[in-house]
Amino acid sequence: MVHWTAEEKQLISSIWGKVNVEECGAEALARLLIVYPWTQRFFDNFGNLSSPTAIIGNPKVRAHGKKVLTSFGEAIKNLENLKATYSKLSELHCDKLHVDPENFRLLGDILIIVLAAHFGKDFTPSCQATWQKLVGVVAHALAHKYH
Amino acid sequence: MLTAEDKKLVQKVWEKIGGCQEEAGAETLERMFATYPQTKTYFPHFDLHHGSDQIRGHGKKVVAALGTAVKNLDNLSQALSELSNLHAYNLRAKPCFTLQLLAQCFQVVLAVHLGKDYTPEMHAAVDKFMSAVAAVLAEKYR
Repeated sequence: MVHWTAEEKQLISSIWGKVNVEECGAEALARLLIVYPWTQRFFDNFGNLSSPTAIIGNPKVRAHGKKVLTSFGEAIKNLENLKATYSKLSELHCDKLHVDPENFRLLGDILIIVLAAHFGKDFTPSCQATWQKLVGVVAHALAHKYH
Repeated sequence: MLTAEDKKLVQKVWEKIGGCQEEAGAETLERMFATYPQTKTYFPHFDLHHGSDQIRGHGKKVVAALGTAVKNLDNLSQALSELSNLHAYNLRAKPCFTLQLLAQCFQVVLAVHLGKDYTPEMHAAVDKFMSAVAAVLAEKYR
């Protein structure tokens, strides 16, 4: 089980409290599809992903980004119990979506960069360290039910 | 690997952080040590406290090397040849993966400083650039 210090929990909630889940989620997913274009393979039915502009403006990308980050919010509410929280989602990503868990790590890193761009200097090294730990743990929980 | 457009974007990013390149180096290292403590194992001889002269000095070196890479995007292998030897034979840092950690922290520093100006296109180009640099530095490992 992952241990979170009081300071880490504070760093997580203070940043999360100021995140616009819809904007941030949309941007993170768009950047994933732009920076790592092979991830587009999971979104064949999303329509036009032919350029960064198309991806950023794509309403399905925006909607799905919001969904993904909303789910991330669930993780934050259940830090002591991530594997159970993500059990069904993990099975889904393995059995139905067939997503290589390496991609969760990529999305995590992208989210960190989106937060950094948004929060600037407030995204201190301690913040980054805590959030990288968080995205790592989330990725691990999502991969837990793979077989 | 890097398209003409990628190269232009990387150069643009480099210009944008013109004045604060040195700080960017120190901050990148500081973030790397805070976020990935295993990277400290390569610097047992350093004072790793915030603001240490050694971190500043080394950050300056790292950024200068990246600057050399930016000026020689058409010929990374040759431009970074010495550094490649150093990393392979002297420093022997676990290739590719460790440099990926540095790259992530460098991207965060760029995002912190450039905010909205750090567009997805720049992000993609810099990501490719850092991968290319890491690949060259890993060339001589075995």
